[in-house]
Amino acid sequence: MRNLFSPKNIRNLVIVTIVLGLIVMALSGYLTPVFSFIFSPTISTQSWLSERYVAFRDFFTSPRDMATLRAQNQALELEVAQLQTEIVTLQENLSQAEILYTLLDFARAHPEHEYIASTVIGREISPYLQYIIIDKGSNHGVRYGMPVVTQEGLVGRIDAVIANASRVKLITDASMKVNVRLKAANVEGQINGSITGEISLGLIPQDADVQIGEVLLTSGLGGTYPANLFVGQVLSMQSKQNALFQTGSVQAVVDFHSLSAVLVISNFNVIDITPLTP
Amino acid sequence: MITYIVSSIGFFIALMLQYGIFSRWTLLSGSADIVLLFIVALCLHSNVKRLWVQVLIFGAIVGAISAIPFYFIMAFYFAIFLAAQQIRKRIMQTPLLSMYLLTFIATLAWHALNIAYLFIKRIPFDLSTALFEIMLPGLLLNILVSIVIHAIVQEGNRMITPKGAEV
Repeated sequence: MRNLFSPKNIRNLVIVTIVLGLIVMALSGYLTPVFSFIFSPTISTQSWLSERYVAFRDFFTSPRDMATLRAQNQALELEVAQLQTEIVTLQENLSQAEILYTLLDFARAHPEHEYIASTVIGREISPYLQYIIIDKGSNHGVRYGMPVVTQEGLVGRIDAVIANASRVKLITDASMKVNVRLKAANVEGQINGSITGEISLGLIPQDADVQIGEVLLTSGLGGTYPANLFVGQVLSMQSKQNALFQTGSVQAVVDFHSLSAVLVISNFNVIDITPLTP
Repeated sequence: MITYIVSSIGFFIALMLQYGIFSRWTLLSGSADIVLLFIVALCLHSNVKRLWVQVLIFGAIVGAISAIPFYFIMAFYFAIFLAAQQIRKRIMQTPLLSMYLLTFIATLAWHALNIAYLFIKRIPFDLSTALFEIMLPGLLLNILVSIVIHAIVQEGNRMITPKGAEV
């Protein structure tokens, strides 16, 4: 017992009691102001020191990081450029596919003909002549004289063929004449091209009642084109008293300036009537 | 040899650009003819000995693609070559002026040749339409584009052949 209440034990007990008391007070929040008072300067000092250290480190390491970032930026820019190129290519492919789908629809709607789909790759060098160059030739079954159409209507006919390309004479060419039928008026006439690509209508009888907007279809006369291909619409008509025929101007259904793909009718037998021509 | 190869490559590039782009790029109904301009610039600037053979071959190639008969175009390009030789003797001190002059003459001659072809083939056309809607716009475009073609051919020629050298 003497040992239990010895001064040493009492001192230890007091210390343990004080420590426990401090822990309980700390856990209870009573010592927060004390801690704040003690730790605030320490934290401020630590923050200041840390900031200076980071600044000091950045001063020596930032150039390397900038170079890395620049390299990454360049790589990303390159990737963006590649993706943009890919998008443009895909959009072009989509546009081409849409045209081909439209041509396919036309081919399905006219199953009596066989078609060779081809792309327009060039236009005649002489501004006085209306020709286009397409990317299909004799290797693909294209032959001289075959009619050429789009989903909109008649384009022209094959004028020259080599192995992998052909030249197409458009119906707008000045030397071109196409026999047509005016659907509503039920009369036949002839359209002529010109050096500027405009189309005129001729050989319409004076007594024929032709309305503006009347639809023109190929008549099939002459054996150069199949019958009932859409050609255009009547824009205006002129009738002179002393003339044998009425004349007029025609709006072609095909936009010849933006032709990008065409169909060659491969199973149409062109009849050459040149020997019969006086 | 390198001069022949480079000028041939230049010709084919001009040919593809003409058929693919410039023939569709019209002012009214006239268009620039950069193949013609390339031939003009080549005849004015090239120092190769047998340029006339090359010009005839170029004419044959264009004639093979075009609906105009090939001998028309060969003869026309050869005439450009001869005209260029005469101009070089007289006013070569001002190459751009030579280019303008020969472009003007060659363009008018090219249109005259086309009109002559239409006459020969008995294709009906209106002469005033040809003049105002095709010839004059085409002449204007050719004059404008000739500056670019002249600069490209001149610089290319300077790079390939040293000044005064004759290959």
